[in-house]
Amino acid sequence: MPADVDYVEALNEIADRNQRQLSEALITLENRITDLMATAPLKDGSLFDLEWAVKARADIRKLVEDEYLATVDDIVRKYGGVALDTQKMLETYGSFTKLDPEIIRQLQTLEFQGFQEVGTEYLDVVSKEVYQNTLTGTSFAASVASVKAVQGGRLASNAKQLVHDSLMQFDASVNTAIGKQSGATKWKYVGRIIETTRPFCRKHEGKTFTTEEIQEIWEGSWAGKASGDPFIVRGGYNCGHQFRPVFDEELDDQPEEIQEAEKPKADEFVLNDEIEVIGSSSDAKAFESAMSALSPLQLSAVNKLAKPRKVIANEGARGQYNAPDRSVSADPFKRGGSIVRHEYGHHVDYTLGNIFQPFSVTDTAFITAFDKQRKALKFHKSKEKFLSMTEIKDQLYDVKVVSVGSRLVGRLVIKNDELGNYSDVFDALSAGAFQKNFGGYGHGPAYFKKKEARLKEVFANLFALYGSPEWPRVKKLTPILADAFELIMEGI
Amino acid sequence: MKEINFKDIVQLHLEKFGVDPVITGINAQDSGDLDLKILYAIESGVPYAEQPVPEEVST
Repeated sequence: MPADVDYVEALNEIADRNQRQLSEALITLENRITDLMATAPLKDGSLFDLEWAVKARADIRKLVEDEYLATVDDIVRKYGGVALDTQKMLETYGSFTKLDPEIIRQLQTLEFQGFQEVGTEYLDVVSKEVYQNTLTGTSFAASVASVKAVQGGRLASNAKQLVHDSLMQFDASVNTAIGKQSGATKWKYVGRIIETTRPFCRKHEGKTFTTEEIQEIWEGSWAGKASGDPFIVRGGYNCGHQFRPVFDEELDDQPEEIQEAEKPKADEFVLNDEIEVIGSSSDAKAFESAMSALSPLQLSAVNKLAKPRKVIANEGARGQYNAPDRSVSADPFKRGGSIVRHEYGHHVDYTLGNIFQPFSVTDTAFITAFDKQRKALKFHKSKEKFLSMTEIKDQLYDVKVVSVGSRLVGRLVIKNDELGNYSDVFDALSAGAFQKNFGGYGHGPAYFKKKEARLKEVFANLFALYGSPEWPRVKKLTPILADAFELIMEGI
Repeated sequence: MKEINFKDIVQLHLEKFGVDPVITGINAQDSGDLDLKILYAIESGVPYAEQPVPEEVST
């Protein structure tokens, strides 16, 4: 394997090790904070002592310093060795100038400061949770659970992502600085394709670009893109690729690149041998057929992205997606295959993001479109919301009066199978009020309590609707969301 | 006979069992006949309660 690819692989392995080291430190930190909470004075099993809660902040700060900051300090100190390895790797390709050790030290300081900010946020959030629980007299058990939820939630995942990106960005800074100091004007995009590699990185990997070409290409938009200098942020969050400076002499020595005809079939979806399929062969065929009804653009995207590990397609399979298992479950014979397309939409969302955070809950453009669409529909104003929802309901459902036992029921009947997903879009935009008022297809207020759930479901529903005959209606009734989603599909 | 709708059915459930039907979203893809399921629960005397949605699952 070429030295540069070997090097980037080794770098990713170090990043993985650093993530594991930080995960262990965060677990220890969590346990020690639980131990600290066990020292809180209790009244009838609940926290009450505000003086203790105020003092606890200093203790939590000490724990954060001992466990979290000491660990990241250890991680960042090792970056010096990484810089030396970068230099060695580059020397296999030509004569490069050496980077001033003071610059390397400054880069390390900058990276450590990034971790410090996360630590401060961590301290603030956990201390506040402890104080609020004490103020409201929350039981000890519930307080421990709520503090753990705060610790193990977004803060922990932010820190883990940061520890990966920090190393890769440090190395990118070193790499780029050495290349620029040495007068390089061309750069090779180096790395290895793995299951979660972004389509953007797949497309550009192994290719050499001028500085100007990089600036131009990186102006585009793609899933998971991070803002900043393209040489530093590369493919975006959690990206495992690097730019390596290249001199013309090296390019002259290389044989002409052979472009591999890696063209996925654009017009059909196939459950390949790598996917574990639960269901009969006719279930599997029905699943494939449901997926093949997607638009050509979507099929092309689906065939580029990693497939699920498991597909549950037997009769009666519950419609759901399990992100850690990468498992899609849907009865392909129900609702004209639209459940399959919805659940696969979740898979695409998580594949564009990661198993902890799907793309839809982190992409600013999509979140903004969601908020704007909600306002455009007047779902944010309690007085006009019901009228607006009623008008939409009448466009999606017919009313059929049936006798159920001794009762006469005016039932909502969806006008066609595809519109079940669209009904759920309005349920998400109204945080469950649509189903609460009218019934019909939706997830309801409990599921949509969290905004993340609303964004995820809207993404999956739009994915299912995109290639359907109902897309013109989606564009007419919810143009802001439709436009945002079209951009996402075109960018894959 | 008065025609009833979804909200009336939820109200009947509340009157019969003292609680609202528990709708977690786990059966979202089969929710087109939620009204009938709640009516069935009322008729059979067992409150309507869906299973919780596991944290790692989207429906």
